[in-house]
Amino acid sequence: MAKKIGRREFIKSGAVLGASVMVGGKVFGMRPAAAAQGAAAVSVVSGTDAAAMTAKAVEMAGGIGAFVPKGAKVALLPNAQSKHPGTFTKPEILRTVIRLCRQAEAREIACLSWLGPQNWEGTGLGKVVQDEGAVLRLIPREDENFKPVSIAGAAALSEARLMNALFDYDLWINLPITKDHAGNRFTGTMKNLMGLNAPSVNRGQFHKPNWTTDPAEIAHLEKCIVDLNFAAKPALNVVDATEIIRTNGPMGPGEIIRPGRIVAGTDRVAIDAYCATLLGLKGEDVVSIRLAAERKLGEIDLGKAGVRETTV
Amino acid sequence: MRARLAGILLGTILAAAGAAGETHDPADFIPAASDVPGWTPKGETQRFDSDELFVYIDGGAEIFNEYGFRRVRARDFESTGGLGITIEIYEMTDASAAFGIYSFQTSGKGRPADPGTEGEIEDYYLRFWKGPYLVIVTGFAAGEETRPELLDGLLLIARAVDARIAESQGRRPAFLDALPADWLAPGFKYLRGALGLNNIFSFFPGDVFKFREAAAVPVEGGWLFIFGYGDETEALDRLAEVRLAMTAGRTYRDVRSFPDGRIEAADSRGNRLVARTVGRKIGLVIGPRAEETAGSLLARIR
Repeated sequence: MAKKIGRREFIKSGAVLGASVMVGGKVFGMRPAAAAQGAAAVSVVSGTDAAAMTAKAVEMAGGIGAFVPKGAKVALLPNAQSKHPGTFTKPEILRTVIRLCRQAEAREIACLSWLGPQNWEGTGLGKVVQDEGAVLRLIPREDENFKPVSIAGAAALSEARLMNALFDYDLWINLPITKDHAGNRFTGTMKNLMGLNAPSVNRGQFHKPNWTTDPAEIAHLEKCIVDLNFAAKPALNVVDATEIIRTNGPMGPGEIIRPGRIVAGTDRVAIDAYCATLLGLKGEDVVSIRLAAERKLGEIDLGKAGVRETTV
Repeated sequence: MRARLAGILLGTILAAAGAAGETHDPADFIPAASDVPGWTPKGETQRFDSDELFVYIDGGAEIFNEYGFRRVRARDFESTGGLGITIEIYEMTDASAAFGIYSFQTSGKGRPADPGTEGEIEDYYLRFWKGPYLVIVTGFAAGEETRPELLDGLLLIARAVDARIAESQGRRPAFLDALPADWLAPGFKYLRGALGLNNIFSFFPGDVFKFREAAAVPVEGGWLFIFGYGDETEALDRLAEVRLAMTAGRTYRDVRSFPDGRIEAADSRGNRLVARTVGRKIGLVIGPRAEETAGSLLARIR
């Protein structure tokens, strides 16, 4: 049963709450994938200027107007987990997406997070939110701030608990960094959704008690990640693959590689399969990508999905 | 010099306390400003015990738990020039656990560093282990021109932490004693469970090897694994289970057994695999040329 937003949820910079868009247990962008018809599933831009690369990648994915209608309320989900180099979404990427949303005449733009203010300060992402006049909504971790969402046909996670605040927005844009992750070796668009899900569920169901791994079911976490991706769908994904850690993820410090790329699109499986190659893996090597493809969440075969690359 | 002497003196005091059976919070090993001239502690020490580790490193907590984790303390430092360094001191359950997570995290591509029992400095960070502690000192540089100052700061602060740790140096796990020294060069991994193994090579979706401890050694184009078991029977049974799992799944093909007990197979990624038991161990080589290299490698396992 859905619960009301807790009073302790605090909103910086004066967010205004609005109506939610909740259809059939899934969160949709107002104009989902169809809006990007003609665009490649995976748009890749190489270069050194993260802002220019981000803008170009979004343009190649269909243009911001295809995803953000005029007057829309937009939620953003960058990765602010750690301040170690190569582990968090670059502030310039967030800044550019905020500006693009503003150009599309979005009514409200907010970052949602259950991480603490120190994460946003340490990564520099909080300053960008403030500089750009967007909203940072830091959601307390208690379950009352998260809404149960049933997942039909789940392999491991039958119910997600998504932030109540998410349902105040018309659409949301996923802004992960792709990087190494201990155990499952990869994180990208799909795993970033754990940032919307209740910490109690991430802790108690994705992971086993005391953050151990069930030896008989190493793939349990991966199955949960895929299930979660059936509960919430971003209108657009913009992935930081500029400077990333190849070892000791998700926190680092670890070996930094510099693919120098921004990857955008709507197909999470195709994007993750592409990003896996930047870490020396194939999509099939990553259990979550393989399982998601088997469940038709997206296309793992990059030849079929379509990858368009350019340099700015 | 005075600061270093003060650190050594404090270390001696803590050692005496340790000898008396007292335990120390790893926060005690965080240097005072006077220990690290030019650097100042910033903010408060962050403290996470037992299963609170997930609050600090989220999904990264599991691998620490696999090796054996007790608590972590973290503190930021800032230089007079505005550079930043973060110290993290992880207290593991024992020296083997500290060495294990150290070996798991170090690439072997860095430069040896003198703090601790073993240490490595790489790019923008320094890791060392000593007794049951893993210490990670990470630098945040504003640009290439500040790197020398940052690297000096990493060493200064790491040495100050080292001087305060009272525990003895500790030794690598006894399991490794029987392995050839050249296999234990920087870059090899000591493993305590399926998660660590899966991070290096994903053999199966479940834990089929069920080893007690293991070593992973990078070899030409692939890996040599030495899995340890309680006795010879357990090792033989486990190899039989590995063979069964290979024939049951779709990842492996051409699974064959030979009179000398070894098994061979090919995987869907172009690797060949050769494995056999040696006493209470299983030796396994996987890589494109495993059939050519496995014989001489596995013959060296004792």
